[in-house]
Amino acid sequence: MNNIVLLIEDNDDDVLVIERGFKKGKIANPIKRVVNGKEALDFLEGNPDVGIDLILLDLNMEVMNGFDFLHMRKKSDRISRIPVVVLTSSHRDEDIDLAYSLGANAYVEKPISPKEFVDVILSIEDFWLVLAKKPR
Amino acid sequence: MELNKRLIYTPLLFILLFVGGLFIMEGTTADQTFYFEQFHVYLEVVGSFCILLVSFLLFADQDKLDFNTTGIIVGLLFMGILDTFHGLSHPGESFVFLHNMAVLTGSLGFFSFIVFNCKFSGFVLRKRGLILFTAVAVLTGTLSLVLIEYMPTMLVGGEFTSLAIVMNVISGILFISAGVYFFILNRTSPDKIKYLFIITTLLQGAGSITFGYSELWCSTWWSWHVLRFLGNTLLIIFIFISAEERRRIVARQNLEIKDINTKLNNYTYTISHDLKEPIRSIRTFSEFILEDYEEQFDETGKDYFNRIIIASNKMAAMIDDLLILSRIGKNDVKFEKTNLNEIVEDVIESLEMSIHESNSDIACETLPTVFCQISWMKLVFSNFITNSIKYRDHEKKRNQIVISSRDQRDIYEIFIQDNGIGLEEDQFDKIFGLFRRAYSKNDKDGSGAGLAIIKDIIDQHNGTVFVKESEPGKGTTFCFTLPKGVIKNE
Repeated sequence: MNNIVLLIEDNDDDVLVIERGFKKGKIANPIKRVVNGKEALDFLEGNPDVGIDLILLDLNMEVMNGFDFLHMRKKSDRISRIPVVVLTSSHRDEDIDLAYSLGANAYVEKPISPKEFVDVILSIEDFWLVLAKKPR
Repeated sequence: MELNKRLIYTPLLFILLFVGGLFIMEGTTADQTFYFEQFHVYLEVVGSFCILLVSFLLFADQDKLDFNTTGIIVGLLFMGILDTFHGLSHPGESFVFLHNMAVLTGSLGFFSFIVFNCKFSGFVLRKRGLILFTAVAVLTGTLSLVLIEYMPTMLVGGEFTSLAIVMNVISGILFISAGVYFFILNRTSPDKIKYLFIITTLLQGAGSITFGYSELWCSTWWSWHVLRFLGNTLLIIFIFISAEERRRIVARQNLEIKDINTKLNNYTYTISHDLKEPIRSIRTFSEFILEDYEEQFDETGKDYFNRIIIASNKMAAMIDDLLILSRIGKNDVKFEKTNLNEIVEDVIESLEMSIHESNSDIACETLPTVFCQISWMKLVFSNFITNSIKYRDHEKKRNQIVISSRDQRDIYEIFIQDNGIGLEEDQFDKIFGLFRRAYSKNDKDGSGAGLAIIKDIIDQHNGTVFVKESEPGKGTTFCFTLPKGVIKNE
């Protein structure tokens, strides 16, 4: 059983595109999707035994946004070991700075073009799911 | 704060000088009248100059104060002019009469301020009124000199008549009442100018009342002259107060404008960011349909989907440009000393593909070193070059772009010249508007914000941008200016 990828994203359309990318790239890791940081924390705390390879994190979300999630993530040893890739449509410098200083492992802007978007998903998969060594 | 302290210490200093002066006066003998006269002229002329100056400044500033100043302006005007006449005339009958008229009109002016402020607070003295009052005051002065034998007697055997004394006492009372009124006003809405008027009117009042106990050139006579001189010259502080006030207002307004700008920029950011999401979805799913269900559509169907994709791309580009516009003017980009040639080289490198594909040649002459926000300045050149490529003349073999500069007195002029399709003259200003194109809406790709972005950036650099010359079929020369010297980072 492959470890899962936790997708924290409130936009259903983007979820579809990301899922399509996973399908096209033949990525075996199943996606668990939640709609905000709060739900993500609840899921992580409620399922301590589930192996998670990667967290894909949107920034602008209701209830608990990406920054707040990154903030809370630091407090848990387990969660802070899971790599987080911020995947957002914001390219504001201050957002990028803040995300990294809150401990994000990478920051990727969602491309406008769907082809590029799929390519981005494939690159993320290549690096974070295949190449990068993850903590046991 | 600093000025407040100075306001308190200045009268103290003057009072010390005054007491010291009195001691010296007591020690002098009467046959120094000549020097006394000279000194008196000096006191009166300087004092009058001060109050006339303040009268005019008050006139200019009357809408900025929270009380009606008409009475004060006219009072100071009369007092200043009549005191000048008094100071310049020889001691004698009209000399005393002019002084009495000066203090009486001055005190009446200050006292009428109470009436004006209570009843006609909206009244504004116009220029015509000021000229009229000036004329009346000069006429009064002249008549007092010429027709002195018809005026009431002021001086009998070197002593003031009781009428002269009564005139002065009345003035004193009027001055002091005005001072008390200022004091009351100052308690409800304190400011430095009211404080200043309290001091002036009380000094003037004290001076006028002391008049009755004096005779020509005696120490008491000098004492009230010095009191009045103090009152007159202290008013000069008004200039500093109003200048400081003005600086504070301007600073506050600037702050407000900045605040509004920041808010607007934040709104633009949020709006354009949120607008981008649905457009991306429209485009994405149109493309997915084309990809996944291609065989189910005929050519018309595919064309329709392509139109949706093109339209959404265009809209996304426009929103991107709005985002850029909302970011210009933020203080996170520093002004740095940079050579413009380096910037142009970078831009040419990044645009290499489209320059090559469009058969464009870019010649760049030696450009100056300026203070600029490098990333924004790159966008300026990049937009100019992209623009020239976009609007190139396809009938010409090569699309030629020349970038040059000219050193003017305190600015640099940068020119971007091309041999493109050119512009009609009525388009020169319009093209700098947001999403404006010189030609039809469908003619070209891109958002139509390129020049608007350039304009905003150049504005931020305290420069201007305009079409230097252009002719359809020949080409266009754009020009923008940049100031020489340091642009400070805020």
